[in-house]
Amino acid sequence: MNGWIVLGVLLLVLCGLVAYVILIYNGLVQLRNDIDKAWSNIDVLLKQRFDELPKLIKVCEGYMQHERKTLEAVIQARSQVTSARGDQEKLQAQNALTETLRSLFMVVERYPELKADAVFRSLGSRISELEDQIADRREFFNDTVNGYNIRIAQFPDLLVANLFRFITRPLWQIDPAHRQDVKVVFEQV
Amino acid sequence: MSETELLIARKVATEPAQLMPVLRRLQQRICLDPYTTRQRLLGRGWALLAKGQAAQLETLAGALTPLGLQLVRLNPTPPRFAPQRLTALRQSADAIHFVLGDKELSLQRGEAVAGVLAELSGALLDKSLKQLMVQNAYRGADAVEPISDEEVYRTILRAQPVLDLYLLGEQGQPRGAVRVFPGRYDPKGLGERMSYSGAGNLEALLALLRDLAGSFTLYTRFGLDLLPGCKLKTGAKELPFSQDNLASLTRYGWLMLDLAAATSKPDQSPSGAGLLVASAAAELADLAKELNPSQPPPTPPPKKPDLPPPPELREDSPGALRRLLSFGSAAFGGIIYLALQGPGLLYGFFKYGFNSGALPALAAALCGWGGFHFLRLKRQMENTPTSRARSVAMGMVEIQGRAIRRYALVSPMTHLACVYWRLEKFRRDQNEQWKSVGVSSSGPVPFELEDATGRITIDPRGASIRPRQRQEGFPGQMSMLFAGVGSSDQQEKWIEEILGEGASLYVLGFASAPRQQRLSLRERTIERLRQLKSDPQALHRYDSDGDGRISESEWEAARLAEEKLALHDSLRQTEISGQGSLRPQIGRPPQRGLPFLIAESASEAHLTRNYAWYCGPLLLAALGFAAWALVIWAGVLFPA
Repeated sequence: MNGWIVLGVLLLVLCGLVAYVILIYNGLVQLRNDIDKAWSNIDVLLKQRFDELPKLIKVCEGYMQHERKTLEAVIQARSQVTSARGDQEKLQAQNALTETLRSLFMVVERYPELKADAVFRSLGSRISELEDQIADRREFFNDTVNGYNIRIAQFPDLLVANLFRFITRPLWQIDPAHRQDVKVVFEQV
Repeated sequence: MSETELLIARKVATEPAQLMPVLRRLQQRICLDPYTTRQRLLGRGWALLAKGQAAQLETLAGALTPLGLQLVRLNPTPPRFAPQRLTALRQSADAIHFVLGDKELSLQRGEAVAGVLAELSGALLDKSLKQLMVQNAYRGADAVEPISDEEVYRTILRAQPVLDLYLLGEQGQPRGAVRVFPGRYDPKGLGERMSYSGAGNLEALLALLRDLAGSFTLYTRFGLDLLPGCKLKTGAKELPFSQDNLASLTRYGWLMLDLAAATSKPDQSPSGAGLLVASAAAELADLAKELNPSQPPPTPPPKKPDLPPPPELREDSPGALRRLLSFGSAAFGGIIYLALQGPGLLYGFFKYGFNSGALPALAAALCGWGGFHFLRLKRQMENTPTSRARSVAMGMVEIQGRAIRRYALVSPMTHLACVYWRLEKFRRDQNEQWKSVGVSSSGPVPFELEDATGRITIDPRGASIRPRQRQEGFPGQMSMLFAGVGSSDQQEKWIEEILGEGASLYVLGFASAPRQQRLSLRERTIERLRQLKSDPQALHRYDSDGDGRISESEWEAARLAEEKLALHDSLRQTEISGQGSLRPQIGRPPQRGLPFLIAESASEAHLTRNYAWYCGPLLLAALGFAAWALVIWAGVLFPA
């Protein structure tokens, strides 16, 4: 009888362990899917920003006839996003679009009538808000990836991760060109 | 003359912009408490700012006067005589004669008189404090307004008023004083103005003085102004017309006369009473340069609208934990029923349960479920990164911030501004033990959570709410400030838990777009077109050919124009509100298995640590009970 009791207790413990392993596995699966979701949520905001651009360009065209080059750069960057294939190409196209928008807003400073335009102001604040949200969601993506990478490296999740081949995921990286110092040149008046 | 002088300030309604920076600098130079000083400067009436040597007070006054504050430095006149009690009065064509026992004092037409109308029972002080508390609760600390002069006047007349009159001589110095106790003098001298009530006669006397006196100033803020030697003593053991209170009233009257004399002088003198200008002392040179001496008077901030009252909302069906508690209570109720049937039945029930191993197995299952529940919740919280309010994505989110009220929710016992309250009432039973007799709560009132990036709405319907603020009190205890005032029924006590406004909260929930924001551009355009159809005058605008009918092409033009207007409205609303077109709110997850938690916690780590403490013992207990059941079943299956 004692043998049966011991066997029963061992079975109990085994059931508990199996339940715990299932809990860990499900958690890791959720984390992995959350990373993909966080990445897609950045795309949602990038798409919203993309859709606002035609209205912005149209408003700017009315005031900035002499800034064709700047406006064309934005239009071209936008079309590159449409034609990009693959994650890396899309990422590069979005970064290029961010750069051209930054240049456009710098040039707008020379046009007080444009800045005072109600439609431009609302579009500008909307795009500015989207840029802030995109930055937040990139940080959120990195937090998600970081949490996942830590989980699969810590004990006892490490055992389950190795057993079911969960691998680390890379963090979002900025374009190396953006790490360089910005040179500011003041035009002599 | 004593070298110690008083620096008295007239309080201001709005805080001068540079006040706190100046006070902080003064804190470093002369050890002044900036927060107490700030409190004394805001509001209505007069307040003592400092007491000390003339040179020290000059430093303080010199720094504060450029901010537009009215300051008076003076050596108060000790009262030369106290007002004497009025017993009767007589009127003549150009005078009032006050009968003060065996003496008489006359006020001729055109002479100056100053009066102090006060109430000594403490009712005015109570009312003022309560108004401040209510405004703080319903409007916030920044929008508190002190009690108005009209309200002060009415409150005094309704309570136990007393009127001191100071008849002033040529130099504005008092030559005599009268103390009027309503109902304790012969009012026949009022003539036609006489009434049957003490307060009515008092008002009649005041009207008479206004008609006769050349100048009549009435002071009504005794007890509210923070001045030395002018404190009103209140309490159950204190009589309103005690010697102390009457002496304080006398000192207040003389101090008001000193202040009136000081503020009426157009110029200032280096010594004695008078207004001060910015000192040219070298130590103040840097302060004076930074401050703009010609600072325009501060414009009062726009009055914030009062918060709306909380909506009537019903609690939804309880969550899993509540269902479990309900089941547990029902089971407990069943056991009690069995117990009441007689000891034999209950004993038999437990004996069979333990002997068969059913009860240990049930306990093991419950403990195991509880342990895994907390373990799952702990891991879910650790696995979910914290989102920011301005960039919350749809789905399960975790967010931390401060609670901000959307509705004027105030806790019932402590009268504190809060976003959620829960009140449990207890009564003593026959064994003098506290027994719960009822639980009520504020219900799922929406509120906002604010972090460094913005605010987001929280709909707490169905949430598991974990407050930390807990107060115990008794019915009749109006608030924590008035603890001890009012009757306390020791047979009943209340325990109140609240999520206070400004509390640091952790929320784990589901972000979704609120329904009212789900109208698409097409829906908004349809709504505009519907309104256009019902307005013939507006529709006529699109009748381009003027034939009185809207053709198909004209209708298409109208549709395009209304669509453009709907888009413009949306953009304008975005600019005004500063928010995106779709701002999610956090509420209950649609799937039952997902958690929805609102907890008052300094950080996520505090919460998860607590859950670790819950799940460990529960899992161990589950293992223990399971082993016990196993032993019993083994004994049953394999009897020796």
